[in-house]
Amino acid sequence: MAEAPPGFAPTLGTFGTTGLIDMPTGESQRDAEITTTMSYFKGGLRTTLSFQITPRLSGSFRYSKIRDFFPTAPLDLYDRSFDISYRVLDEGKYLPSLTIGLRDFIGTGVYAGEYIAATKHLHPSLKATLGLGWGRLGGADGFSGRTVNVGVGGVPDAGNWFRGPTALFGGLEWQTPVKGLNLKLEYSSDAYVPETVQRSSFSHRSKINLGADYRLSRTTRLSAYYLYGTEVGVQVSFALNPKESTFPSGREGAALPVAPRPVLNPGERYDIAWAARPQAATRRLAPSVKTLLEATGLELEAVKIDVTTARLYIRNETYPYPAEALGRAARALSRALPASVETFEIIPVENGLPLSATKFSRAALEALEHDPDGAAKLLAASAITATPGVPHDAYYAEGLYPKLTWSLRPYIRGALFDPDSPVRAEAGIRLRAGYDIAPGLSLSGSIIKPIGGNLDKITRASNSVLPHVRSDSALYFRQGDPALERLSADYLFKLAPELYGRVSLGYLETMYGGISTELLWKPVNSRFALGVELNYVRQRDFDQRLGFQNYDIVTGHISAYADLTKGFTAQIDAGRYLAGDWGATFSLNRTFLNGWKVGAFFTLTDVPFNQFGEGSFDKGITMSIPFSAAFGTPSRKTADITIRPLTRDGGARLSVQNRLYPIVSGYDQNSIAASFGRVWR
Amino acid sequence: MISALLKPTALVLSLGLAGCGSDNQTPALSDHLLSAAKTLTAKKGAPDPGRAAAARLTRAQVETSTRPLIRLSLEEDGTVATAAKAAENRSTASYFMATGQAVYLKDGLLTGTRGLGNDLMSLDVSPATLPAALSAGHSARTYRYLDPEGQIYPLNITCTLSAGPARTLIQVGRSYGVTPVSETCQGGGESFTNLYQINLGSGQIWQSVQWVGPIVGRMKIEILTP
Repeated sequence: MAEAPPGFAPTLGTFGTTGLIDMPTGESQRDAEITTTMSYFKGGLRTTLSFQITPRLSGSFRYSKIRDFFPTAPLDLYDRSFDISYRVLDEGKYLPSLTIGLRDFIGTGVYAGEYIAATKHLHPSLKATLGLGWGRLGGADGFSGRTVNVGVGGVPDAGNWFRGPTALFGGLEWQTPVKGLNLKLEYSSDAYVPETVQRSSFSHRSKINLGADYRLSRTTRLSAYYLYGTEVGVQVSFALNPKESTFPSGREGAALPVAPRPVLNPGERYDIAWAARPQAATRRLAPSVKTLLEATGLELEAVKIDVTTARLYIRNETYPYPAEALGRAARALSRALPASVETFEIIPVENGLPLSATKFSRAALEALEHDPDGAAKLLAASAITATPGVPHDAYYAEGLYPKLTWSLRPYIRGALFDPDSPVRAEAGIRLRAGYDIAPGLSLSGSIIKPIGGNLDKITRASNSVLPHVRSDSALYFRQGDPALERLSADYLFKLAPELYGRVSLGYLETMYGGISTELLWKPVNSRFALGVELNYVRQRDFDQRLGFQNYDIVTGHISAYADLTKGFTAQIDAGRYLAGDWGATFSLNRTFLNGWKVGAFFTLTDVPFNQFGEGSFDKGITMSIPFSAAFGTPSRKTADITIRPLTRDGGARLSVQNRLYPIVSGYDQNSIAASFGRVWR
Repeated sequence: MISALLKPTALVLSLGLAGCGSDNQTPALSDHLLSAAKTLTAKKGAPDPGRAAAARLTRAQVETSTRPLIRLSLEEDGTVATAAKAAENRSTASYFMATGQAVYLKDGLLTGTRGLGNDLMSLDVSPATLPAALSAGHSARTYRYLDPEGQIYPLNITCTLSAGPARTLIQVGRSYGVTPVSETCQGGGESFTNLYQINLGSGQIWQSVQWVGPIVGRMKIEILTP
């Protein structure tokens, strides 16, 4: 499944969404497709990130630059916009594929327009689109009759949707016999009134646009356009899809094979003399368990072995799929333990927290290792349950507590959307160290030394009327050289098998220090979880050494988490934010079992929109990209990205490490069972 | 950072140095990028000493192995490797290559691979053995694979079998009396032919070319020590 058949897949237009050139079509991208598009012509430079959220629903975030937009001064407009579109109809024998979409529906509205578009294949290599547009897509008069509602932006402008004059648009897309080359012809209903009538960015002489789209590879497309009778445009787009992989089964070596026990004759039983003193036996067997686990890419935390049951506590830093780690551990145990041990209870441990227990029957492991339907049968023969803390008489692997770890590595960090330089970055060296004192109790921290970049050259000062709880980031970037990013003591613990706790104390993040406490109730077999977090923090000095400023605050949230199935998870955090504002954050994520995650969030608080400033309220997009997807080697690490169109002071949360839900939810019943396809990998 | 969506190679330039630390089990992004860059810059088609040795294997070398040996070659890219039997469970044998990759053989039929990137997770064959399928004249096969989200999906294939005239097979210094059997298969948009050199008396398949899957293609399997 490395490459889907090229077919006549929908392409992307200049807005980075499924479309002809400037006009949308009635189609969608493949489910889960993530595209980044950069498109330029004299009318604007647009960078768009789009995600096909479900097979029918897609969302986009765009950052655009329109040169000399303001009539009074030679100033460029930097604009952020969000689009959403929904495919209502699938193409059939007679019916077209049909989408309804909103462009720029919560921005400042410069691209605001709504449409209904229909697309139908006239021939396997020729598609026609016809659509009806409002607003910006409603022709030269499209905005008349709509209220002008620019303001500070950021609020859905529902009162104007599908209002005012309409115009028709349409076009053709032809898949030429030249492999990868599509030609496009469109009739545009976007009159570019703000750019060409109110200002003179370019001259608009024709409604006909021409385009050529060339598919360089599965990931990359190049496009060139002739626009509005006068202009030439260029575009490049990159596509990724979490549901595609060059190496779907991974390139890691095989697991250790099961060592089947000798078959017993009737009346015989396996020797149990070895277990006369179970603790001594555990101690004797532990080294070989540890060696075998390491050979299969896992680490031993602790083990407790008695006559018929072994409880094995493992650390998994390697395999993104929980069941793959469990299946490997179970097979390793079959090679290490005396034959009378019939049940393997395998318990993943993260940050000292034992998370859930999967009970494997050794007889089932032996019988199903090479069964064609072994994964489903083993799941049916196993149980996934809650687990208490590690028992006192378990044997801990040597060298884990205390243990010092450290690393010295290069880093890159960035900041987006500064109008003076929309992409800023900095490279340097980061020293990290961690000291594990006891299970769950650790000290850790990191120091960075910037070497080069332009992150420290941000000159815009915060104009926020709220306490500057986040908007002074430029000062932190400029003065933090070197910077103590974090230095904290963390204690994670279990109060009950499904109740977890955390206390963190110290310099919790780059801007705040103090104490953070959290409780989480997460039943192993439930799709719901509840948490509460309470923090007292003080703002750190801009130089990020040991000092504090005068601002302090009690902040905290009550959180509800729901697994909505099919990979979607929702989270609501309600409480008090860093600026003392009260409100709630709503997040929706789509998580893929292979480690990909794409999500969006917004926060509404009692800070009025005009006090919040540009953007009206906090919102953003998050994405996690697993290393294993990019490199084919197994790894649980991900590159995590949060894109906020604007970072201001309302709705700002403490950024403390080791929040419990992400740690605990990865090994709940649902995650383990859903990944069981890989238990024999 | 949207740039993370771009090709990783572009980032390598700005990460000129590798990291160091107490724990090399969990490499950071910079280490991954460096190793990816090394792979990309490694010469394509450079001779691989292991592969050359596997291709030139002699009977004397086979005899020195304490474990039963097989030789595997991938039709698609010409990869050659030897693998040693490491375990057997319910008449399925696991053979491991030096790289840690493995294949599973049940009565000489390839029922699984591990570590090829597009592994065959399992194979269900009916009738279960080659001699039984040959006398029936046909076989039904279900191949199972992993999709990029860790879910198993099956591929159902039906095959017809026919035998050719008995011949002598010479393989790494030994000769065997064998009957060539070809198994022509179709289903799920795939079509391929498996070839077996089997001694019908003992049921031993001495050599075969068996289909692994749509991406990996066919694998030649030579039994050097039964």
